[in-house]
Amino acid sequence: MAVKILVVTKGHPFDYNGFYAMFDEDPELLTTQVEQPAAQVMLRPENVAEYEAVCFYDMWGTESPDGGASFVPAPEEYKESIAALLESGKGIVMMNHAIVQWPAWPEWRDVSGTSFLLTEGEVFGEFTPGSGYRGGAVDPRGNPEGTVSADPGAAGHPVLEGVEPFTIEDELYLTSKTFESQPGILPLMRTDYPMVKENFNPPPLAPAEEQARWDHPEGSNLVVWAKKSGNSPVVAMQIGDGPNCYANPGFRTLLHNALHWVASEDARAWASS
Amino acid sequence: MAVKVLVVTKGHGFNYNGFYSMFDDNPELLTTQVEQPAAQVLLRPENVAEYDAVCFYDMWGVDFSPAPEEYQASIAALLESGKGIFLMNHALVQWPAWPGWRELHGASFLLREGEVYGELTPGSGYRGGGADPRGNVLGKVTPDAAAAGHPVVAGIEDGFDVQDELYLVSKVFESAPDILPLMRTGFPMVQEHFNPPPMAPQEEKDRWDHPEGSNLVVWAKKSGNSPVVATYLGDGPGSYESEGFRTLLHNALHWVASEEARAWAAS
Repeated sequence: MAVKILVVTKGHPFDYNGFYAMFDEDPELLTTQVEQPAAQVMLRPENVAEYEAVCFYDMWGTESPDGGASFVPAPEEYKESIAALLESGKGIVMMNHAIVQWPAWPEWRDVSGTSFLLTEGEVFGEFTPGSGYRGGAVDPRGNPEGTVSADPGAAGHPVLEGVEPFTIEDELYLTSKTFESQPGILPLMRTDYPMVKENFNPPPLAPAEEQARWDHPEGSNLVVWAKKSGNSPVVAMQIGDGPNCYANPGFRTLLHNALHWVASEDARAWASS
Repeated sequence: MAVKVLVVTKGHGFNYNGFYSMFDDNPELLTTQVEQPAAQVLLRPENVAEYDAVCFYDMWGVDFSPAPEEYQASIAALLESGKGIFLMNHALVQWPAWPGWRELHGASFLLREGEVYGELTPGSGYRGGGADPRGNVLGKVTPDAAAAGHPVVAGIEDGFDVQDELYLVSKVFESAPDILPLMRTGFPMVQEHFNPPPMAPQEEKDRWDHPEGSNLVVWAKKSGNSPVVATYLGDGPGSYESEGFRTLLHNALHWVASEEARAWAAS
C-alpha cells in the first residue's frame, strides 16, 4: 500500500540525487516535495489535508542576527499550522537537521522531543551544553561509522520490521540523554558509536567563546525514536545526513516503515492513547 | 540584483544535483522549489504574489487528462498579473489537452499528430535525453539576428555549444504573433536525426514522417501581460553544466522579472 507524503526541504544542503532516490525508487512512497518557505503554505490545514504523512528534512529558522545569542522567531501562522497538524493526528517523520531547526520555537522541540541544542541552554529543566556534531560535508575527521540496532524495548514494533542491524557512515549529533526518559518517547534504535566528547566537534552556530570552552558529558546513543505529539505519531531520527545513509538498504527499510507506520490508524491510536 | 523565483518540477526524471546546482551556484537566483501537484496551490494568485518569476520544469497532464479548472484559473490570473515566466524543455510538452498551456509559450510541439496553428502536423520527434541509444546531439546555439542587443542574449552574443536533447517540431510557430526569436541551433533539424514521438500509438510511429523542423530553440512571447521566455534546451547535465546555458537561464529569469519585459509584454 502506498502512502502520500509531503516532503519538506531547504536550509541545509544535501545530495539531491541520493536523497530523492530513496523515494523515487520506492513505489509505495508517493512523495510531493516543497521547499521552505513555500512549505508553510502547503502545511496550512486545508492544503496538507490530502497527505497522509509529512517528512521534514528542512532546516529553517536557524538565522541568528546576533551570532548565536538568539534566533529568529517562527511566523505565527506557521505555528498555528503545526499546532493544527498535531491536533489532526497527521503522521510525521523527521530526519537529521530537521530536528535542529527553529531553536527559538520551543513547540518545535516538543514535536520531536529531542534534546538537541544549537547553543547552550535549558532543556527538560536542566542547563545543558550545546550539542556536538561529527561528520557531514565539511568535517576533516569525516563521518563516524556505527552500527544501528533495535532497542530491546522496541521488539516487534512495525517501524523495525525487516530492519536488521545496519552499519552506516553518517553524521551524528552529541546530545544530552535527558530526552530519553521524557513522557511520550518510545526508544526504537541505538548506535554503538561511542558518544563521547572526544569524537565530536563543538556546536558550530554557538558563539566562538562558547565553542572554545565546550564540554559535554557522554551523550545519548538513541538515534531513532517514536513520540506522541498531540494526536500525531512522530518518528524522529538523528541519522540521515548523507549519501551513505540514503543508499543503505537498512536505512531505506527504516524510512519506508516509519512513513507507513505514522500514516496508519494503529499509530494514530497509539499517539492519542 | 537577485530575483525570487518559484521553480516547478515533477513528471519527468532529471538529474537533481545538476539542475539545482544552476540555481544554488547563482546568488542572484533565489529559488523556492515545489513539485506538482502542490505547485497548483503555490500558483494561486495569493500564494505566487511574492515571487518575481516562475520557472516551469514540470511535465504534468501528459496522460491527456484535462487541467483542473482551478489551475487553469490560476494560470490565467498569472498571465493577467504580468508575472514573468520561463519554461524549459519538457515543460513545453505538458498539458496536451489544455490549449491554454500552448498559448502561454507558443511552442508547436505535439506528443502525437494533430492540429496546431490551424495545420495538421505530425507528432514531434526527439533525439537524446536519458534513454536514446544514439545519445544527445551537439549543436552550437547562436542568437537570431532579431535578438541583437536583447538582454536575454547579453554575454552569449557569440553563442555556445551544448550537447543535449532536442525536439523536432514544426516551423509554424516561428511566425506566430507575439513570438520573438532569440536563439537558434546549428544542428540539422531533419527527420533522420530524430526518433518518432514516444507517446504516440505504434502505428503512428511506424508511419512517422516529419518535414524539416524549426531550429528556433529559445524565444520570447507576450502572453497576456506576462513576458515569457521558452527554450527546448535544458534536458540534462549537458545544458546544466554549460556556462552559456547558465548565462541564458540567469538572463531570462532576470529579464522576465523586469519592468522592461512587462512593458514589452503589455505593448
